[in-house]
Amino acid sequence: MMFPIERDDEFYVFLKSCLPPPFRIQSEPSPSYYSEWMFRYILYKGDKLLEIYQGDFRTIEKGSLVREAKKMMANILKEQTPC
Amino acid sequence: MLIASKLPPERTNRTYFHTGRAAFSFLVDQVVHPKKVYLPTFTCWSLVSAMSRRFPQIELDFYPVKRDLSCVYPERINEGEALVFIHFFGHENTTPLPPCEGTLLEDFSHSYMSQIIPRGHYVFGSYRKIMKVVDGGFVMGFFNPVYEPTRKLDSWLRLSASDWRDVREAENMLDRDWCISDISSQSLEILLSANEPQVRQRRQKNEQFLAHNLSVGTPQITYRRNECPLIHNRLMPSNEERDSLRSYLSSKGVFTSIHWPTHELIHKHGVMIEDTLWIEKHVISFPVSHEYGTNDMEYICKCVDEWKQGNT
Repeated sequence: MMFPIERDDEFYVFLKSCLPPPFRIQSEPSPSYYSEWMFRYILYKGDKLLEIYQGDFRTIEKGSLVREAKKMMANILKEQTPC
Repeated sequence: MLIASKLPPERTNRTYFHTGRAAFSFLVDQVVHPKKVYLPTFTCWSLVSAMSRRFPQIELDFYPVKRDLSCVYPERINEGEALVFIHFFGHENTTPLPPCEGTLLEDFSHSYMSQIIPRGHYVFGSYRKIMKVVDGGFVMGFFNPVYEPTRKLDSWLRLSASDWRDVREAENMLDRDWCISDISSQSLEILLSANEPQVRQRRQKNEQFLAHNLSVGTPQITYRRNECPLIHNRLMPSNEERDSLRSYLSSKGVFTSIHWPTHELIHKHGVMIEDTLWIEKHVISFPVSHEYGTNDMEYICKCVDEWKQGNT
Protein backbone atom coordinates (compact mmCIF):
# COMPACT_ATOMS: atom_id res chain seq x y z
CA MET A 1 0.00 0.00 0.00
CA MET A 2 1.28 3.48 -0.74
CA PHE A 3 -0.77 6.57 0.00
CA PRO A 4 0.27 10.14 -0.73
CA ILE A 5 2.05 11.55 2.33
CA GLU A 6 0.87 15.08 3.03
CA ARG A 7 2.12 16.00 6.49
CA ASP A 8 5.24 15.45 8.57
CA ASP A 9 3.34 13.58 11.26
CA GLU A 10 2.31 10.95 8.69
CA PHE A 11 5.98 9.98 8.25
CA TYR A 12 5.81 6.87 10.44
CA VAL A 13 2.58 5.40 9.08
CA PHE A 14 3.64 6.15 5.52
CA LEU A 15 6.91 4.25 5.87
CA LYS A 16 5.46 1.47 8.00
CA SER A 17 2.86 0.85 5.35
CA CYS A 18 5.09 0.89 2.29
CA LEU A 19 8.72 0.04 3.13
CA PRO A 20 9.58 -3.23 1.40
CA PRO A 21 11.54 -5.91 3.32
CA PRO A 22 14.24 -6.02 4.55
CA PHE A 23 13.62 -2.35 5.45
CA ARG A 24 11.40 -1.53 8.40
CA ILE A 25 10.72 1.36 10.72
CA GLN A 26 9.91 1.30 14.43
CA SER A 27 8.48 4.04 16.59
CA GLU A 28 10.02 4.46 20.05
CA PRO A 29 7.53 6.83 21.70
CA SER A 30 8.10 8.29 25.13
CA PRO A 31 5.99 6.55 27.79
CA SER A 32 5.47 9.94 29.51
CA TYR A 33 2.12 11.69 29.56
CA TYR A 34 1.73 14.79 27.37
CA SER A 35 4.53 13.78 25.01
CA GLU A 36 2.43 13.51 21.86
CA TRP A 37 4.51 16.03 19.90
CA MET A 38 7.81 14.23 20.46
CA PHE A 39 8.85 11.57 17.99
CA ARG A 40 11.62 9.01 17.68
CA TYR A 41 11.61 6.67 14.69
CA ILE A 42 14.31 4.09 13.94
CA LEU A 43 14.95 2.81 10.44
CA TYR A 44 16.38 -0.70 10.05
CA LYS A 45 17.60 -2.85 7.20
CA GLY A 46 17.19 -6.34 8.63
CA ASP A 47 18.70 -6.02 12.10
CA LYS A 48 21.05 -3.19 11.14
CA LEU A 49 20.13 0.28 12.38
CA LEU A 50 20.35 2.73 9.47
CA GLU A 51 18.99 6.00 10.82
CA ILE A 52 17.28 7.59 13.80
CA TYR A 53 14.75 10.36 13.25
CA GLN A 54 13.79 12.24 16.38
CA GLY A 55 12.48 15.65 17.35
CA ASP A 56 9.43 17.71 18.11
CA PHE A 57 6.71 18.07 15.47
CA ARG A 58 6.07 21.61 16.67
CA THR A 59 9.56 22.84 15.91
CA ILE A 60 10.88 20.84 12.95
CA GLU A 61 11.08 22.54 9.58
CA LYS A 62 7.65 22.10 8.01
CA GLY A 63 7.68 19.52 5.22
CA SER A 64 11.12 18.14 6.08
CA LEU A 65 9.86 14.67 7.01
CA VAL A 66 7.55 14.57 4.00
CA ARG A 67 10.53 15.26 1.73
CA GLU A 68 12.66 12.71 3.57
CA ALA A 69 10.00 9.99 3.25
CA LYS A 70 9.49 10.63 -0.46
CA LYS A 71 13.24 10.66 -1.11
CA MET A 72 13.69 7.47 0.86
CA MET A 73 10.99 5.62 -1.06
CA ALA A 74 12.30 6.87 -4.38
CA ASN A 75 15.79 5.64 -3.51
CA ILE A 76 14.53 2.28 -2.33
CA LEU A 77 12.46 1.71 -5.40
CA LYS A 78 15.45 2.68 -7.54
CA GLU A 79 18.38 1.09 -5.76
CA GLN A 80 17.20 -0.55 -2.55
CA THR A 81 19.21 1.98 -0.52
CA PRO A 82 17.05 4.33 1.53
CA CYS A 83 19.28 7.24 2.57
CA MET B 1 -51.01 5.80 4.61
CA LEU B 2 -48.00 5.75 2.31
CA ILE B 3 -46.79 2.59 0.60
CA ALA B 4 -43.61 2.79 -1.43
CA SER B 5 -40.34 0.98 -2.06
CA LYS B 6 -38.17 3.98 -1.21
CA LEU B 7 -38.72 5.70 2.13
CA PRO B 8 -36.39 7.52 4.54
CA PRO B 9 -34.33 5.07 6.66
CA GLU B 10 -34.97 4.43 10.33
CA ARG B 11 -33.23 6.68 12.84
CA THR B 12 -31.04 5.09 15.48
CA ASN B 13 -30.97 6.15 19.14
CA ARG B 14 -27.21 6.55 19.16
CA THR B 15 -24.93 8.61 16.92
CA TYR B 16 -21.43 7.31 16.34
CA PHE B 17 -18.13 9.14 16.03
CA HIS B 18 -14.46 8.33 15.56
CA THR B 19 -13.64 9.32 19.15
CA GLY B 20 -15.20 10.56 22.36
CA ARG B 21 -13.60 13.96 21.88
CA ALA B 22 -15.21 14.14 18.42
CA ALA B 23 -18.59 13.33 20.00
CA PHE B 24 -18.04 16.02 22.65
CA SER B 25 -16.88 18.54 20.07
CA PHE B 26 -19.89 17.82 17.88
CA LEU B 27 -22.19 18.66 20.79
CA VAL B 28 -20.31 21.84 21.65
CA ASP B 29 -19.88 22.99 18.07
CA GLN B 30 -23.16 22.04 16.44
CA VAL B 31 -25.76 21.49 19.15
CA VAL B 32 -25.14 23.41 22.38
CA HIS B 33 -23.12 26.47 21.25
CA PRO B 34 -22.07 27.46 24.78
CA LYS B 35 -20.29 30.69 25.64
CA LYS B 36 -18.67 29.05 28.64
CA VAL B 37 -17.85 25.44 29.56
CA TYR B 38 -17.10 24.04 33.02
CA LEU B 39 -14.88 20.96 33.27
CA PRO B 40 -13.76 19.10 36.42
CA THR B 41 -10.18 19.62 37.60
CA PHE B 42 -9.89 15.85 37.80
CA THR B 43 -10.34 14.68 34.24
CA CYS B 44 -8.82 12.99 31.25
CA TRP B 45 -6.78 15.56 29.32
CA SER B 46 -8.61 14.87 26.05
CA LEU B 47 -11.58 17.05 27.07
CA VAL B 48 -9.30 19.90 28.13
CA SER B 49 -7.32 19.50 24.96
CA ALA B 50 -10.49 19.45 22.82
CA MET B 51 -11.65 22.71 24.36
CA SER B 52 -8.33 24.52 24.16
CA ARG B 53 -7.46 23.46 20.62
CA ARG B 54 -10.85 23.45 18.95
CA PHE B 55 -12.75 26.10 20.88
CA PRO B 56 -10.26 28.74 22.03
CA GLN B 57 -13.02 31.36 21.71
CA ILE B 58 -15.19 29.63 24.35
CA GLU B 59 -14.45 30.52 27.97
CA LEU B 60 -13.18 27.50 29.87
CA ASP B 61 -13.53 27.17 33.62
CA PHE B 62 -12.89 24.35 36.07
CA TYR B 63 -14.62 23.13 39.21
CA PRO B 64 -12.78 21.28 42.00
CA VAL B 65 -13.03 17.54 42.60
CA LYS B 66 -12.35 16.24 46.11
CA ARG B 67 -10.38 13.16 47.12
CA ASP B 68 -13.57 11.14 47.44
CA LEU B 69 -14.45 12.19 43.86
CA SER B 70 -17.34 14.39 44.94
CA CYS B 71 -17.58 17.59 42.94
CA VAL B 72 -17.73 21.25 43.97
CA TYR B 73 -19.93 22.49 41.14
CA PRO B 74 -20.56 26.17 40.43
CA GLU B 75 -23.56 27.51 42.38
CA ARG B 76 -25.65 27.63 39.22
CA ILE B 77 -25.28 27.08 35.50
CA ASN B 78 -26.52 30.15 33.69
CA GLU B 79 -28.01 30.39 30.23
CA GLY B 80 -25.29 29.98 27.62
CA GLU B 81 -23.14 27.91 29.96
CA ALA B 82 -22.45 24.17 29.87
CA LEU B 83 -21.35 21.92 32.72
CA VAL B 84 -19.56 18.65 31.94
CA PHE B 85 -19.78 15.97 34.62
CA ILE B 86 -18.24 12.51 34.68
CA HIS B 87 -19.08 9.20 36.33
CA PHE B 88 -15.48 8.54 37.30
CA PHE B 89 -14.21 5.06 36.40
CA GLY B 90 -17.74 3.64 36.03
CA HIS B 91 -18.92 4.74 39.50
CA GLU B 92 -22.04 6.92 39.53
CA ASN B 93 -21.33 10.54 40.33
CA THR B 94 -24.04 11.32 42.89
CA THR B 95 -23.02 14.88 43.75
CA PRO B 96 -26.27 16.88 43.42
CA LEU B 97 -26.22 18.97 40.25
CA PRO B 98 -26.62 22.74 40.57
CA PRO B 99 -29.68 24.67 39.35
CA CYS B 100 -29.29 24.94 35.62
CA GLU B 101 -30.54 27.34 32.96
CA GLY B 102 -27.79 26.19 30.63
CA THR B 103 -26.80 22.70 29.51
CA LEU B 104 -25.61 19.61 31.37
CA LEU B 105 -23.25 17.43 29.36
CA GLU B 106 -22.82 13.95 30.84
CA ASP B 107 -19.64 12.06 30.02
CA PHE B 108 -20.46 8.34 29.86
CA SER B 109 -17.03 7.20 28.63
CA HIS B 110 -16.39 5.21 31.81
CA SER B 111 -19.95 4.30 32.56
CA TYR B 112 -21.83 3.25 29.45
CA MET B 113 -21.92 -0.30 30.81
CA SER B 114 -22.79 0.74 34.37
CA GLN B 115 -26.58 0.85 34.13
CA ILE B 116 -26.76 4.44 35.31
CA ILE B 117 -29.79 6.58 34.49
CA PRO B 118 -28.54 9.71 32.72
CA ARG B 119 -29.29 13.10 34.26
CA GLY B 120 -27.69 15.35 31.66
CA HIS B 121 -29.34 17.08 28.73
CA TYR B 122 -26.89 15.30 26.44
CA VAL B 123 -24.86 12.14 26.97
CA PHE B 124 -21.64 11.44 25.13
CA GLY B 125 -18.60 9.23 25.50
CA SER B 126 -15.68 7.27 24.12
CA TYR B 127 -15.83 3.53 23.51
CA ARG B 128 -12.09 2.91 23.65
CA LYS B 129 -11.83 3.06 27.43
CA ILE B 130 -13.69 -0.20 28.06
CA MET B 131 -13.78 -2.10 24.77
CA LYS B 132 -10.76 -3.14 22.72
CA VAL B 133 -11.62 -1.18 19.58
CA VAL B 134 -9.46 1.02 17.36
CA ASP B 135 -11.84 3.93 17.63
CA GLY B 136 -15.33 4.88 18.70
CA GLY B 137 -17.32 7.64 20.34
CA PHE B 138 -21.01 8.30 20.72
CA VAL B 139 -23.74 10.78 21.51
CA MET B 140 -26.97 9.29 22.85
CA GLY B 141 -29.91 10.07 20.59
CA PHE B 142 -30.27 10.57 16.88
CA PHE B 143 -28.25 13.32 15.26
CA ASN B 144 -27.21 13.63 11.67
CA PRO B 145 -23.67 15.03 11.62
CA VAL B 146 -21.91 16.05 8.45
CA TYR B 147 -18.65 14.28 9.25
CA GLU B 148 -15.31 15.87 8.52
CA PRO B 149 -12.96 14.05 6.12
CA THR B 150 -10.07 12.01 7.54
CA ARG B 151 -7.86 9.13 6.43
CA LYS B 152 -7.91 7.63 9.96
CA LEU B 153 -4.24 6.75 9.86
CA ASP B 154 -4.27 6.30 13.63
CA SER B 155 -6.85 3.52 13.22
CA TRP B 156 -4.77 1.92 10.47
CA LEU B 157 -1.76 1.94 12.78
CA ARG B 158 -3.66 0.40 15.68
CA LEU B 159 -4.83 -2.43 13.44
CA SER B 160 -1.25 -2.93 12.20
CA ALA B 161 0.30 -2.66 15.65
CA SER B 162 2.62 -5.39 16.81
CA ASP B 163 3.18 -4.03 20.33
CA TRP B 164 2.44 -1.15 22.70
CA ARG B 165 4.79 1.21 20.86
CA ASP B 166 2.61 1.37 17.78
CA VAL B 167 -0.52 1.72 19.92
CA ARG B 168 1.13 4.60 21.76
CA GLU B 169 2.21 6.17 18.48
CA ALA B 170 -1.41 5.93 17.29
CA GLU B 171 -2.55 7.63 20.51
CA ASN B 172 -0.05 10.40 19.88
CA MET B 173 -1.29 10.83 16.31
CA LEU B 174 -4.82 11.18 17.59
CA ASP B 175 -3.76 13.68 20.23
CA ARG B 176 -1.97 15.79 17.63
CA ASP B 177 -4.73 15.83 15.09
CA TRP B 178 -8.36 14.74 15.13
CA CYS B 179 -11.65 15.80 13.65
CA ILE B 180 -15.39 15.14 13.92
CA SER B 181 -15.50 11.97 11.86
CA ASP B 182 -17.34 8.66 11.87
CA ILE B 183 -16.50 5.39 13.62
CA SER B 184 -14.80 2.59 11.68
CA SER B 185 -16.79 -0.44 10.57
CA GLN B 186 -14.46 -2.81 12.45
CA SER B 187 -15.11 -1.05 15.74
CA LEU B 188 -18.83 -0.84 15.17
CA GLU B 189 -19.05 -4.57 14.54
CA ILE B 190 -17.20 -5.33 17.78
CA LEU B 191 -19.38 -2.95 19.79
CA LEU B 192 -22.68 -4.16 18.41
CA SER B 193 -21.80 -7.81 18.98
CA ALA B 194 -20.34 -7.35 22.50
CA ASN B 195 -21.96 -9.30 25.31
CA GLU B 196 -22.43 -6.42 27.77
CA PRO B 197 -23.62 -8.47 30.78
CA GLN B 198 -20.62 -10.77 30.39
CA VAL B 199 -18.21 -7.83 30.08
CA ARG B 200 -19.72 -6.16 33.14
CA GLN B 201 -19.64 -9.35 35.23
CA ARG B 202 -16.02 -10.17 34.38
CA ARG B 203 -14.87 -6.65 35.17
CA GLN B 204 -16.80 -6.66 38.45
CA LYS B 205 -15.16 -9.94 39.46
CA ASN B 206 -11.68 -8.71 38.58
CA GLU B 207 -12.17 -5.44 40.41
CA GLN B 208 -13.59 -7.15 43.48
CA PHE B 209 -10.66 -9.54 43.54
CA LEU B 210 -8.16 -6.68 43.58
CA ALA B 211 -10.23 -4.67 46.08
CA HIS B 212 -10.10 -7.56 48.56
CA ASN B 213 -6.70 -9.09 47.89
CA LEU B 214 -4.20 -6.33 47.14
CA SER B 215 -2.01 -6.08 50.22
CA VAL B 216 -1.11 -2.40 49.91
CA GLY B 217 -3.00 0.89 49.79
CA THR B 218 -6.76 1.41 49.96
CA PRO B 219 -9.42 1.27 47.22
CA GLN B 220 -10.43 4.71 45.98
CA ILE B 221 -13.93 3.56 44.99
CA THR B 222 -16.46 1.08 46.34
CA TYR B 223 -18.49 0.04 43.32
CA ARG B 224 -22.22 -0.60 43.47
CA ARG B 225 -23.77 -3.81 42.14
CA ASN B 226 -24.98 -2.25 38.90
CA GLU B 227 -21.67 -0.62 38.04
CA CYS B 228 -19.05 -1.79 35.57
CA PRO B 229 -15.54 -0.85 36.76
CA LEU B 230 -13.19 0.77 34.27
CA ILE B 231 -10.11 0.14 36.43
CA HIS B 232 -9.22 -0.52 40.06
CA ASN B 233 -7.81 2.68 41.55
CA ARG B 234 -5.67 2.21 44.64
CA LEU B 235 -4.46 5.03 46.87
CA MET B 236 -0.93 4.54 48.17
CA PRO B 237 0.41 6.17 51.37
CA SER B 238 3.06 8.17 49.52
CA ASN B 239 4.12 9.25 46.06
CA GLU B 240 7.46 7.44 46.45
CA GLU B 241 5.80 4.13 47.30
CA ARG B 242 3.38 4.51 44.41
CA ASP B 243 6.17 5.14 41.90
CA SER B 244 8.29 2.33 43.33
CA LEU B 245 5.38 -0.10 43.07
CA ARG B 246 4.61 0.94 39.50
CA SER B 247 8.20 0.46 38.52
CA TYR B 248 8.39 -2.97 40.14
CA LEU B 249 5.15 -4.12 38.52
CA SER B 250 6.34 -2.91 35.13
CA SER B 251 9.44 -5.10 35.50
CA LYS B 252 7.08 -8.03 36.08
CA GLY B 253 5.02 -7.28 32.99
CA VAL B 254 2.13 -5.63 34.84
CA PHE B 255 1.47 -2.19 33.39
CA THR B 256 -0.42 0.25 35.58
CA SER B 257 -1.33 3.86 34.93
CA ILE B 258 -2.08 7.11 36.72
CA HIS B 259 -5.62 8.46 36.39
CA TRP B 260 -4.88 11.27 35.87
CA PRO B 261 -1.91 13.55 35.56
CA THR B 262 -3.27 17.09 35.89
CA HIS B 263 -3.38 19.07 32.66
CA GLU B 264 -1.13 22.14 32.50
CA LEU B 265 -4.13 24.40 31.81
CA ILE B 266 -5.69 23.29 35.10
CA HIS B 267 -2.41 24.05 36.89
CA LYS B 268 -2.41 27.54 35.37
CA HIS B 269 -6.05 28.19 36.13
CA GLY B 270 -5.55 28.52 39.85
CA VAL B 271 -8.75 26.88 41.12
CA MET B 272 -8.67 24.65 44.19
CA ILE B 273 -6.69 21.71 42.87
CA GLU B 274 -5.05 20.46 46.07
CA ASP B 275 -7.18 17.30 46.20
CA THR B 276 -6.77 16.67 42.48
CA LEU B 277 -3.00 16.92 42.85
CA TRP B 278 -3.13 14.67 45.91
CA ILE B 279 -4.93 11.98 43.92
CA GLU B 280 -2.44 12.34 41.09
CA LYS B 281 0.43 11.73 43.51
CA HIS B 282 -1.09 8.77 45.32
CA VAL B 283 -3.21 6.85 42.84
CA ILE B 284 -2.19 3.73 40.96
CA SER B 285 -4.65 2.35 38.41
CA PHE B 286 -4.76 -1.41 37.91
CA PRO B 287 -6.27 -2.98 34.79
CA VAL B 288 -9.44 -5.05 35.32
CA SER B 289 -10.29 -5.62 31.68
CA HIS B 290 -12.74 -8.38 30.83
CA GLU B 291 -9.93 -9.82 28.69
CA TYR B 292 -8.31 -10.93 31.97
CA GLY B 293 -9.34 -13.69 34.36
CA THR B 294 -8.89 -14.45 38.05
CA ASN B 295 -5.47 -16.00 37.43
CA ASP B 296 -4.28 -12.66 36.01
CA MET B 297 -5.60 -10.83 39.08
CA GLU B 298 -3.85 -13.39 41.30
CA TYR B 299 -0.60 -12.70 39.47
CA ILE B 300 -0.99 -8.95 40.06
CA CYS B 301 -1.59 -9.56 43.78
CA LYS B 302 1.40 -11.90 43.96
CA CYS B 303 3.66 -9.27 42.37
CA VAL B 304 2.36 -6.62 44.77
CA ASP B 305 3.10 -8.99 47.71
CA GLU B 306 6.66 -9.43 46.44
CA TRP B 307 7.13 -5.67 46.22
CA LYS B 308 5.71 -5.25 49.73
CA GLN B 309 8.07 -7.87 51.18
CA GLY B 310 11.02 -6.16 49.51
CA ASN B 311 10.00 -2.86 51.10
CA THR B 312 9.48 -4.01 54.69
